[in-house]
Amino acid sequence: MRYGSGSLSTGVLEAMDFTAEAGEFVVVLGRSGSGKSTLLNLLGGMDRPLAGTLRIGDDELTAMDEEARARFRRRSIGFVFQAFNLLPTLTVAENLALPLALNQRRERDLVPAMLERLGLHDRAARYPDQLSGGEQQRVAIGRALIHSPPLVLADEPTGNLDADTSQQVLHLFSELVRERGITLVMATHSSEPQALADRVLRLDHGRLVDWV
Amino acid sequence: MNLLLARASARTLLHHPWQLALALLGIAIGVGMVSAVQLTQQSARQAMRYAQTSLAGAATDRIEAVRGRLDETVYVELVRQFPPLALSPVLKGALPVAQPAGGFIELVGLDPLSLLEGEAGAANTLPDPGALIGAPNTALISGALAGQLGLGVGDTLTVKTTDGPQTLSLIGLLPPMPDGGKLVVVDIATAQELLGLPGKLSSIELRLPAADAARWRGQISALLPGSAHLSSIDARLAATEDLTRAFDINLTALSLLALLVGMFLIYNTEAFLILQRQRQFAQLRALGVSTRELLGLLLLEAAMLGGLGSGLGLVLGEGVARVLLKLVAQTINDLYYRTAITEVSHPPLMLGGVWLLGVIATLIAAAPPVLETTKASVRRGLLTREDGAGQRRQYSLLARWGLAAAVLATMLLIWPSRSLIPGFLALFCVMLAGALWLPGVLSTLAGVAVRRVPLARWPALAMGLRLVARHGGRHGLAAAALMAASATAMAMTIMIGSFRVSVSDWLGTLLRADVYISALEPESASATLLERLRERLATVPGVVATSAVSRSRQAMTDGEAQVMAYDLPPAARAGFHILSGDAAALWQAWETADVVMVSEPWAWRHGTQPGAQIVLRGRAGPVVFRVAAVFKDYASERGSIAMSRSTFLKHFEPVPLDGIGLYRDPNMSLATLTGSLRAALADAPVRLHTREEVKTESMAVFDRTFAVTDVLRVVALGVAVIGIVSALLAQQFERLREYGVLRALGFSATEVALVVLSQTAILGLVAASGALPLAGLLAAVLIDVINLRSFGWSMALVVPWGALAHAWLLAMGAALLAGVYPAWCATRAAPAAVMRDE
Repeated sequence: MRYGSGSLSTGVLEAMDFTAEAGEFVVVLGRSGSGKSTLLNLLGGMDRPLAGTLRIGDDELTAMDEEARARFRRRSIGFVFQAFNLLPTLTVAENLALPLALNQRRERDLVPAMLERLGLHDRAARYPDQLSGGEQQRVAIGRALIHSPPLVLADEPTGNLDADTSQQVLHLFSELVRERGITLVMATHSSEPQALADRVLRLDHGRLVDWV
Repeated sequence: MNLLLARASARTLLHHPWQLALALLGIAIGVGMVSAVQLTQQSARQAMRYAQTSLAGAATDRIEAVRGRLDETVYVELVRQFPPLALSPVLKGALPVAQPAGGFIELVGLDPLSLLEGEAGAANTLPDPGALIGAPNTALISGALAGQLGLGVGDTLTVKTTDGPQTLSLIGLLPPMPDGGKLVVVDIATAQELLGLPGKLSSIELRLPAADAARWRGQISALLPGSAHLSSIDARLAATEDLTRAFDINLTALSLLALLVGMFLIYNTEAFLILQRQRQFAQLRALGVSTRELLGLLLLEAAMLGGLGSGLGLVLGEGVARVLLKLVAQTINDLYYRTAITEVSHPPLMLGGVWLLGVIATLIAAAPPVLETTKASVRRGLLTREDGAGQRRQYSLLARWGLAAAVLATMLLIWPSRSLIPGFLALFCVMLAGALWLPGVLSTLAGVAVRRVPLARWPALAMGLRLVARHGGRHGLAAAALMAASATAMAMTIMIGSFRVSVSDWLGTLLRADVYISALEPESASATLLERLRERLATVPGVVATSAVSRSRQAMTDGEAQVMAYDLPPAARAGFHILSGDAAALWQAWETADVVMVSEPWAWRHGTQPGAQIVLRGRAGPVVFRVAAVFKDYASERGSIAMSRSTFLKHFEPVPLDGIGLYRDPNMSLATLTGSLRAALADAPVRLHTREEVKTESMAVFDRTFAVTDVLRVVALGVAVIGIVSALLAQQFERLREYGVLRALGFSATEVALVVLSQTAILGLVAASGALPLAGLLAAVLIDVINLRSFGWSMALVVPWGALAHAWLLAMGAALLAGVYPAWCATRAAPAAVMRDE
């Protein structure tokens, strides 16, 4: 699999092959520009490789058109971003409900349960700009997990948080994915998540240099 | 000004070429409309002034016949009585051309020996007028006519006269004229011979010494017979300008409206350009750039945009003026006086003024976002977070301003004034109030709808509603622009529709005769033509009655009045819609007493009510007439006094008839009657129209009059559409990250496009629906205040539902259309960019 972006083809990923089991917590380590985010974008079907194939479970992403990849994302992927990226026009409860709505799921109790699990039951009607950074990231994690996708991708989820909040968020994240048997692939350059991870991938200049 | 700051500003603008282009377009269209209307009015005015100045020289005054033409003896007597006075006789008329190109020429006869000397006289530019008497049948021709007929100096021009074809030798070209006149100038004796008007003159031009002009006017007037009238050129110019004043004001108001809608767009674009850089400005301020420096930078940027956009607007205005000029010339020809305006004039001072107006409008529109940015705290700017409470405060403030505008509008409307200015101000305030309330209304309605539209069932629509509810301010401005333009278009539709129905009803009631006959040339040499025809046609089988009308201007104690003298059979009397006064008493005294009725515009302009008295200067001195009634009349905005023809002839010099009406025996078909009438009138220089034809032609004139407003209405709506495109584009850039997140969460490109389109649909729905009641209010002000004060015409408010539904759909369509490009842009937002931008 090869990936290039823009006219300069920066951030090229070389061929790589790795396996993650269901319910595993995989940490992708590497310096800035090593290709971590690119790998996550490819796994999430948000970018397409220039060459090669990309398969997630039974789905071959490289064979899908844009609409099919959108359907794949809503069904099989959960995203957590460094900048939270909650939708400012939706309340906390609505942000959580959005993936369910997109998947035509009507389980009414899932949102209150998730709010309870996140410790945000008193924040349900608030908008993202009325929450702290840690609270926003907890909502983002809840949104990524609520429809129980097989794969959750997280790109530097603690990059905008202080050390204590980072710890709390990471533990919550780890617990939630394990409870639900969801595979989590987390890109980071911090060492904290390694302690919680089942596997660690190390990238350097787009190459997989280590696989523990 | 720091060069680096200016460079950063310029780069930002160039980095958003679409926004820059839309801002320039908004300014250009707004300024273009004002400049087009100003250029058109200026050109029309210049042509009108030229028509009033004299080819005979620098005249200060003019003597004309009250009707028809002057007798030459008047000139001879004046020369004999006042030898030191500069006098010059003029005779004008039209003649058919015998050349293959055909058509008519305007023939002007001058006395080359008595042309008036002076700086302002067109005579000074005539090429050797003395040569006209050197040889018989010699003429000077205007360049425009020579070009049209393919003639030059040395050629001959053959014209048809009553004595057969006559040939003129062209000995020189006239200087170019602003009205593109197609003239042939000959010696006055030649003109009298060619026109078959021996001993007749159109006018006598005079140049009175400025020092004691009033004394001279008194002496000359005392000498003139009752059939002649002396007036100063300046007073005539003022009267002619006054005639089209209301029409001019309405056109100007519409052009300013286009500028107002353009200002919404400028504000919108400026607000976006600034909002987008709020973080950058906060960073600059954190680095030590002062508020004053930032303010200077942003105002300079706005001024430069305004200057460039206004420059483009002037170019655009030139093109639009050419279209408008044709429509306006047609309207002026139909309603006011004959003119031949063909050239757009370019007074530099006026163009400079319009350009400056564009720059000032841009600065005013840019001021609120600029001031807001410079006032905002650096910390807040760096955070650039959404502030819902701030937005609610803004809505509340806007609503309060809206309430103030509504109160001001009410006060202006109840203020007992006859001036148009408070009327237009009230109109502006009503529109402003609507526009200021709209952002809050839009946000509230979207908020209510949010609760009704479940996210799970309609995610795209629900997201669109939430975006509108949360970002109502940005959407609100675009919606306000669309609502203002739609409401104006709808209000004009209601007003014109009401006017049309009123005029149609009025014509339907007024026109009682079956056939109308009028002279081809109103100032016919044969003053008694229609009089004689009336007697003859009354004996045609099938004609059971006849009516007649003559129109003349008669002197009052102050100024002149148009007097209509009617000879009406009983059937025709029912055609007059009496608005006030006792109709029975009026008709009883109509033929025997000195009673008159006045038209509604006259009553409005002079504050005349039934029972009042009007004094007119009659043949034997002042005559007092009692006003018995006020009647509905859309024929003249200046108003008229109507009396019976017998009363008129008792007090005034006889004037030729303007038209006669023939009433048909119900047992004879109209076709049979018109057939026999046409046969009886075979050689007479008259026009024959049936009642339906008169009505159709009148309504066609009505429609042509409002054609010019159609152009301006479409432009105002066009500006609003651009405003919405601009607002949505701006919003799309701001929401790029949100759309990216939606795509990352699994929204397809189509669903993201639906999110954008649902916003424009909601915006269009609220703006178009809000425009309906606003249009009703605006139409009421237009009909009951503006029209009444402009023309003195009252009319019933008639809502043309079909046309309104059409306007509503147009606004909705415009909003949806405006969403297409932003929706397309939103679908192109790569979801990966969201993560890459972190």
